[in-house]
Amino acid sequence: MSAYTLAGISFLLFALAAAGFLTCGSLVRMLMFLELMLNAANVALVALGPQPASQAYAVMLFAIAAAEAGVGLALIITLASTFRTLEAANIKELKG
Amino acid sequence: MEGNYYPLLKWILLAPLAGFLLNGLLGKKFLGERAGGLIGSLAILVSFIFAALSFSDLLNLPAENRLLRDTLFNWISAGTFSVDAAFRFDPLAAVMALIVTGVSFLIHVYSTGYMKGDAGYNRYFAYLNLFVFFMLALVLADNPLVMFVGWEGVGLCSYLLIGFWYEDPEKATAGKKAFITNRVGDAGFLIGLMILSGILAANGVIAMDFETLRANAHLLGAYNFLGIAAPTLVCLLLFFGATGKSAQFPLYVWLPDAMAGPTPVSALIHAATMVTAGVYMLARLSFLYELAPRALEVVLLVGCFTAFFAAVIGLAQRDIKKVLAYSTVSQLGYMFMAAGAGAYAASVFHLATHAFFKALLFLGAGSVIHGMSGEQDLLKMGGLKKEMPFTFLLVAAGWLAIAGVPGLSGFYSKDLILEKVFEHGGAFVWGVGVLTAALTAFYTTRLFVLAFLRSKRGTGHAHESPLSMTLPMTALALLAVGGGLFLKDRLFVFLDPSFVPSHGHTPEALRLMVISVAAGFTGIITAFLLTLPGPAAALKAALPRAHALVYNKFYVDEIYGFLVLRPLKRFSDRVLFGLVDAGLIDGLLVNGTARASYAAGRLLAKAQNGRLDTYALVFAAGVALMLYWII
Amino acid sequence: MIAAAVYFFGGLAALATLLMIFQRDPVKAAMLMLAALLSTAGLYLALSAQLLAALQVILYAGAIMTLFIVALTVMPQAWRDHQPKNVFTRVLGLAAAAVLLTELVKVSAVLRTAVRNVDFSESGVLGLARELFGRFAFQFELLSLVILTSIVAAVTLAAKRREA
Repeated sequence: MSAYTLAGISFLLFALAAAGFLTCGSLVRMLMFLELMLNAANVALVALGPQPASQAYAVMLFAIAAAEAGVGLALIITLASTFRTLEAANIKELKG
Repeated sequence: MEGNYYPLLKWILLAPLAGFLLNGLLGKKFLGERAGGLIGSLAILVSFIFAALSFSDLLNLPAENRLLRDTLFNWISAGTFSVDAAFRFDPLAAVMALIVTGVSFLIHVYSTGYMKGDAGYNRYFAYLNLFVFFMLALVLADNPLVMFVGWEGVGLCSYLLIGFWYEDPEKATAGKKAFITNRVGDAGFLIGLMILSGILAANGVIAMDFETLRANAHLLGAYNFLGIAAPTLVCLLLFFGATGKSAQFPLYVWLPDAMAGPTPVSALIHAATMVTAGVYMLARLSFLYELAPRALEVVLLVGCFTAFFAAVIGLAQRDIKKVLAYSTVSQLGYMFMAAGAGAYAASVFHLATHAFFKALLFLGAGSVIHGMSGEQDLLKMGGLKKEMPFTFLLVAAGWLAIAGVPGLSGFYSKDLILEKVFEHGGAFVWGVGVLTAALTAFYTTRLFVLAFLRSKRGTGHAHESPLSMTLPMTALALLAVGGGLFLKDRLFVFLDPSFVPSHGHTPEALRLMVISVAAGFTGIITAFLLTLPGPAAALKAALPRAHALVYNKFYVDEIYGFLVLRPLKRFSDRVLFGLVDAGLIDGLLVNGTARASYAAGRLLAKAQNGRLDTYALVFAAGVALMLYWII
Repeated sequence: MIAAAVYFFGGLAALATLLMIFQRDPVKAAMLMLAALLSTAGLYLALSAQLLAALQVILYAGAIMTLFIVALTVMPQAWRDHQPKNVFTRVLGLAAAAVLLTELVKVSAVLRTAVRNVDFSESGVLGLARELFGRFAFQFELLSLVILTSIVAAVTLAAKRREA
């Protein structure tokens, strides 16, 4: 198969996850879709890059993703306690 | 160009202007009453002296070439169109200038006595000087544009002076009425002027001075506007302006109201000078009117009607000044009748004599009012012959002059007009003129009798006026009595060198003269009879409705109010105020701009709303767009 | 065959993500995400990245997913959108994603010619290990720092909350 197809698959995954990210309102949901986006990027990396270097990069990305998920959730919890809501629409101090 | 350069001319004008500036700028604080009055009168005296000097220099010139010119500065210069602030001094202008400055000087001296103690004393003299300045600009102008400047300027000063005691809303309204009515006429004047200059410019004639106009007026004959020949149209429009300025029907309504101003103002402006501007204009543009006989007919008829109409109204008025106001309107009608019959010199002659006796009558009325401490109702006066003997004598001179008693000035001028009108071919118009003469005699006699003769009806003691007031009146009385005889032939020879004074009168003319004199005497005697309390009451009881109609000036003001003013006010309120001002300008432009910027602000603020998802959306959209762009 | 496997697992992941967009129930959503992640692991297997597949299961499905499930268990209402977003924004979001996809696909058009052989190889782990501990050893060790930092951050944030 050509690299084009593999790229297409990973792009599809990314776009779907982006669609979900952009149309949701709750922060936790956004974070979940974010992880999926990162996952899709990982797929692209593995599928298209020069092996085995890309696989090494992918391993590192796993770790970063995990770290990011943890910090993200901690932030969300803090936000939730400050603003008493988890809607991205309500968590704001600007009046725009 | 012909005409000798004569630098003295401009000083005739600039002296009153200087008086205006001094009194206007320095005023009561620095000058005080005495100095103010002195400066005002001196300015006019200087002007008169210069006018007399110019006049004598004019006489020294050969009769065919009597023309002096002067230019102040180049006023308008737009491409090929160029108009100078230029002045001319020819026989007609000389006559007008002398009358204006001479009578003005006498009235200024009178005013120093009449207005003594008034709070706006210096302002009054400033305005009077300004008025004389503009009037001189009008009569000495060398082109219609400078004349129009003077035309407008005297209208302005008239407004300022009529509403002189502006704290009284009635008087202020009278001033407004005068100005606005004048303005309506001026619109016609301007349009006529524009048509004239437009046609001439289309034919390559760009200069606008009177000599050029006279030479090229025949070019108008080729044009037609909606079936009316151009000369007729222009002349009618200019005459419309004259009806405004000279208080003819239909724009005469401001003159009776203008009596709200101080009496010397009425004497100067509304008897001797401003209202004669229309007559002067007709005489000045006589070459144009000769091309439009239809227009002249209109002038004749309007003048005739106005003379009669105003005389009728004057029969029943109670206010002494109103009688004189309607008398002025009527006498101006005579002048226009003369002009309409083509006898421009006769109209100028009557202008001069009218200036003398009408100013005298007004000053006399002022003296009476001053003596009676402000009383103006004729029915409350009487018996002033004993209390104010000087005034009595002087007013008697004016009375006899206007009534057309043979030998006095009014007789000569009025008789000449009636003769010319009859010659021109209008027996009917002549008849109306004679009837008006009778009415004139009637109402003036009525005024005289009610004010001075019979028993005293008023209260209090009337005191005779001071010398400052009686001396000018004496001068005017002398002119009123002797002026006609003096000017009779000399004026005509002066104005038109080809005039040949006729010796004796034709039997036709004698017959006409006898009839008009008889009419005058009839009027006098009838007035004596009908002002006795018995007959007067009987007459009033017999014709109550007619009396009410005449007393209320035929309700012309009310008709105007209904036909013109009310729709105008309604249009103003609904459309101009409601729609345009409140709706369009306030609502749309002012508030609308504010609301639009506010709305725009709110729209743009959405870009910074602090929401993560919105930011993410924008982010993604940006990336997409960028990719689209690059690819 | 490998190709079929790739298509299968890729399609599965895509389907799971798609369904997740419209899912309301948090439990089902979590399950779908798990499915997506596991299919990605399968995809890795098909691409002969066995270690990655294992790591994917351990880290993503095991650690990260567990984290989310715990979060959702504690606050199940966190999944739902309490305020329905207006249609316009949703449509805009979907449109942006679609455009993104199109563009990315267009970009990768050059790759049509590149051929990628996906033969199954027994194990490339040795090569991977050589890379990880050889060339990228420094970055690999740094990773532990990253994780440490994130732990510290999370604990600090949580602690702040408790005190506040």
